[in-house]
Amino acid sequence: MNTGGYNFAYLDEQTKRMLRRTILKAVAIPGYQVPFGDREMPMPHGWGTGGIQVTAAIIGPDDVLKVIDQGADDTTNAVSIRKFFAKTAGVATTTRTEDATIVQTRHRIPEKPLHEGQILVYQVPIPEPLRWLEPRETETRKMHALSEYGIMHVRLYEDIATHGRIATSYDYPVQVNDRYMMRPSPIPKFDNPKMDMNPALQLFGAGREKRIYAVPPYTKVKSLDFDDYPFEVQSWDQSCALCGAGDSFLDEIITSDRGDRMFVCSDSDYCQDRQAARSKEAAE
Amino acid sequence: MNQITLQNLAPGFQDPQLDSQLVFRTALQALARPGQIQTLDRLPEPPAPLGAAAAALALALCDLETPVALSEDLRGATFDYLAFHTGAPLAATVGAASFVLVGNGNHLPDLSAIDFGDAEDPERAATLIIQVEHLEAGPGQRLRGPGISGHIDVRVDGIADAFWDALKLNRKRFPLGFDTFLVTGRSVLGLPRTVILDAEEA
Ligand SMILES: [Zn+2]
Repeated sequence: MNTGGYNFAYLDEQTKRMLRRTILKAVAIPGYQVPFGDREMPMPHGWGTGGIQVTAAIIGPDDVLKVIDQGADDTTNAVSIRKFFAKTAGVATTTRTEDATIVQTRHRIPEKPLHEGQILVYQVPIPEPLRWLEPRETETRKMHALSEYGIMHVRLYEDIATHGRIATSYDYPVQVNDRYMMRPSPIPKFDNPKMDMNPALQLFGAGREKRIYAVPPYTKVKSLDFDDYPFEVQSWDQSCALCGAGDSFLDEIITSDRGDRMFVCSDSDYCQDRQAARSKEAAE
Repeated sequence: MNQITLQNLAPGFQDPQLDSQLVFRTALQALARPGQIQTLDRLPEPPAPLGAAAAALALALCDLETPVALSEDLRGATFDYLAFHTGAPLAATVGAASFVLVGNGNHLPDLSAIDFGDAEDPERAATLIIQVEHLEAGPGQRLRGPGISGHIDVRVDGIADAFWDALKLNRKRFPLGFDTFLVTGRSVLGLPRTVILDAEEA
């Protein structure tokens, strides 16, 4: 195979082996952040290396890779990462969620349900859910060890006292398999329910902090809440202006310099499929 | 004298990069879907009694950073083979090993002596690779837990009952505890520490 003179998937074999061992331990301890070695990993800057490192460690020539950034396949970032793996690993790429074996994502979970055998790789900026409440790593490690998550409940309750509801709408904390508290990366809380009992394997990579964590398929993922303030997802009064979807996460976009706005699906693959189905129906 | 001579060494992977990747993905799938028997496509040709599946996992996952403990029957030719192909050092004790390879599931080492990790570093726990006689989907052990939709049944021949007792204890230690691959022929069965034996709930 010609991979342009690079190591396969760019990383050297020892680094990949170390990442692979880390990934296996992450799967065995759902929701727990497994630290990995200090080895230097030269990676192109500005992409968020965590997701790329995980993808580089798992990807093989038979994989089909989809990369999304905020739900879209066509941002500069998503295109660059797809090209990077097409070049260094010789893999096929796709924008169709159902055709991908690996979906690398920044900040969304696809709207189409994932299936068994697929792997969703999240790019994670900050892995520790307790970090903004407790800056010391030694302390947060102890809290995870003892399952002492009271400070997070206090924090969410303060939210309710101040705003009348839990105001956190992105990177909303979850508890995995009734044990570890986990940060789902800055996905909208709209996507949180998709993590629960998902048939796909979910892997999370944090490059700067060198942590990998995982949610195995068919694993319970519960968004934190209270009996009197149950977890709720975002909802919209509008439907998607392009495809009419009433069940997808919508972005508000400005359509003219007079400030006209419309709401459209954040997931471009989902939206395009629905638009194609509509025009086919209209033609029939 | 136990000198490694290149002429006598059995071959490793044909294509170390690509074979390692494929074997890793099979191992990943096995741990992510406990109880589902996975098939390895790329196999090395290790010296007996080390089997091809155990060797494939070791070659894909072990290196200088992972001390390996070997059951009695695997010392000698197996160690030379692994040392040459992976560089993995022999662990001084079973408790110091990252990987514990067992040649015959009927003759287990003391499973209470292996490293379970500790509360702040549960990932340090060892991975067991145990050769068994037969793996088959169907009535035998009923498993539940993450990675399993409902429950799954699997039959394992050629493993001491003590293993299942150890697995029940292992579950009680969670998040500490060992993770296991049972292997035979080309087949791999993953049993991460999250696995619940159904009998526990009865
Ligand atoms: Zn739409």
